[in-house]
Amino acid sequence: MNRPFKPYPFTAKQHPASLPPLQGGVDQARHPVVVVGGGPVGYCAALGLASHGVPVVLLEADDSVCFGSRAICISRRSLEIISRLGAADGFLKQGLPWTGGRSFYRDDEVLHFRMPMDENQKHPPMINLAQYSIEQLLLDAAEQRSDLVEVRWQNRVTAIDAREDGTRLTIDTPAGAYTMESDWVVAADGGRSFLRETLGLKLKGTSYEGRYVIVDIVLDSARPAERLAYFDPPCNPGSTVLVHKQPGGVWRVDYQLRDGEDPDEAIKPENVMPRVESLLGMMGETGAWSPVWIGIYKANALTLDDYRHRRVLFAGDAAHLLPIFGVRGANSGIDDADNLAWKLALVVKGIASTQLLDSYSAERVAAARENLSYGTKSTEFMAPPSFAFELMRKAVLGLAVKFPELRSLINPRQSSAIAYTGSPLNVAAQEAEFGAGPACGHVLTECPLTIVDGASTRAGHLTELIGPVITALYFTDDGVVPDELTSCGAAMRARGIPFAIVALARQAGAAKARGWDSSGRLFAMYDAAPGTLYLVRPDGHVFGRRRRFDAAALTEAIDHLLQP
Amino acid sequence: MTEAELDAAYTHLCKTMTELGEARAPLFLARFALLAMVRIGNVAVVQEMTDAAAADIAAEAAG
Repeated sequence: MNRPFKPYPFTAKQHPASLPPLQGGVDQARHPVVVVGGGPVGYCAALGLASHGVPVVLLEADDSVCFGSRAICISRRSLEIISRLGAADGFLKQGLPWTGGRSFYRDDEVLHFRMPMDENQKHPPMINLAQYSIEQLLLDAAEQRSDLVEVRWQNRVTAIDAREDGTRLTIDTPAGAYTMESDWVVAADGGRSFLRETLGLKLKGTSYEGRYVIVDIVLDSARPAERLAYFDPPCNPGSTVLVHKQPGGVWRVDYQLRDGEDPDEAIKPENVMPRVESLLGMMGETGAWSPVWIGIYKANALTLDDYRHRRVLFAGDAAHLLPIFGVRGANSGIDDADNLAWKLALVVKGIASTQLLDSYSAERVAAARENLSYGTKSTEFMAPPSFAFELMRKAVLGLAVKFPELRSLINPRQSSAIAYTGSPLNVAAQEAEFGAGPACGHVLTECPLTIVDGASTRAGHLTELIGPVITALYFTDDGVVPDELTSCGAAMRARGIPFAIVALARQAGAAKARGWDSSGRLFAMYDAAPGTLYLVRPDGHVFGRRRRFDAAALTEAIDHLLQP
Repeated sequence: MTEAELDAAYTHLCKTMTELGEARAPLFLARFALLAMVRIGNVAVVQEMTDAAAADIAAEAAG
């Protein structure tokens, strides 16, 4: 079967190499932050820092955004983060939202799951979008912030001297090598991170034996976007096949190689095409199709023990490798960047102590371990690591049609927001007084409300009111904020601490409120009465809540956040 | 049992069986079936379970 490859419906722009002004081969400027790696995580870190007014140099070794089939699913939490970075419009316009999936065993549908989607949500649970589009949209946003974000293309780091008081990077470019000094480095240089390897830092965890062939095709089909998983399908007996629809008529097919199959043989087009053909036939897809890209994947469940190494902070795949089943790879990396950006910004500005960066590592390593346990669960089902898992899976799949109570075992446990419940940054003094609402460490529970913007109002959501600042969500009857709270806020800002009071009112007409509870659900959701105060970090996680505002407690909580 | 509990029980069983090895797996599962029988303690339920477990697998190749 000789089926010619077609290109992706995307042309990556090639960027020329850029170098700074040099003297004796050295970058003239010493930079507060250098981000190494122009992938989704690097861009989110750079944009996050820029939102706090911190200038960033981003080094990308290649001359364009990525190529091939890599991350394709962006979760709701990631969309929330990307919204705060001002880049969500493109994602929502181009991405394909999906709300669930189906699993099949041989000829039967054994599971139909829906991801959490309720009337309170702003974003869909998941959108499918190819990584080259993800990177392009983030790059577009970075170019809008060229006042603070400088992207240097074709700059490849070849050496690093990581000291306690700063870092020297040696960079190779087509126009020659140079060195640069940086106060802080964000290592977002991917799964094969040069920085991680060269610093001798070891990933720990499990590498799975099972291999998946990944094929992107362009296919003429009107089928909707939902995750499809086929176990032991007639078209590929003994195998597991995943199908994801992407924008632009691109479909991704992942299928498991059986034990003993030679990976090098398996990815040859002449061996891939018939399997895809037979899958499409089984699915009833008769439209024209062409292959675009073939690769091979091996699941890993690995993390560094510490994401901080002197002045180098690891994020994304450079810090951890998660199995794709559960779609937490890119999404957890974006969450890393969001957690890191505000902390690093406040440290750079001299407002917070460097211990705050240790909390980045503690919180995100804990998150990685939690993501790993979910990813491991999914992997144990998708790529059974032993005869026992294989046998039990066969039993589950065979019984699932008649015994629905077994179906949850098939559920791939898709990505959901992580809570930093044990974080040292939390001030949990009044936790016991709340019967509902996001506890310390949790992200804000989304709720629709009416946003007040000067003289006009518009329909919106609570998370839109969180900016690159520490926020006090203050619940009121009428939007009026006590003088003591206002002065507290002014005192914070006088110290250079980015802080905002967001007053929320129960009813319309409260001119001083930023928003009012038009759905009637917000106050109950937060177990709030007038006077209730929630303290929220710039990354949208709650770090304290009180039934009544208290100036001393507020100041203490914020001081504790900044000097943990 | 919540979904999380079922998940934990399932995984524990798989890991235990993995450690015992494939040769001992049938004996392990036989012992588990017996313990489950007496724990359930209802003859009609146990017989239904036996029939459900056997249904649809007669066509499978052994092993």
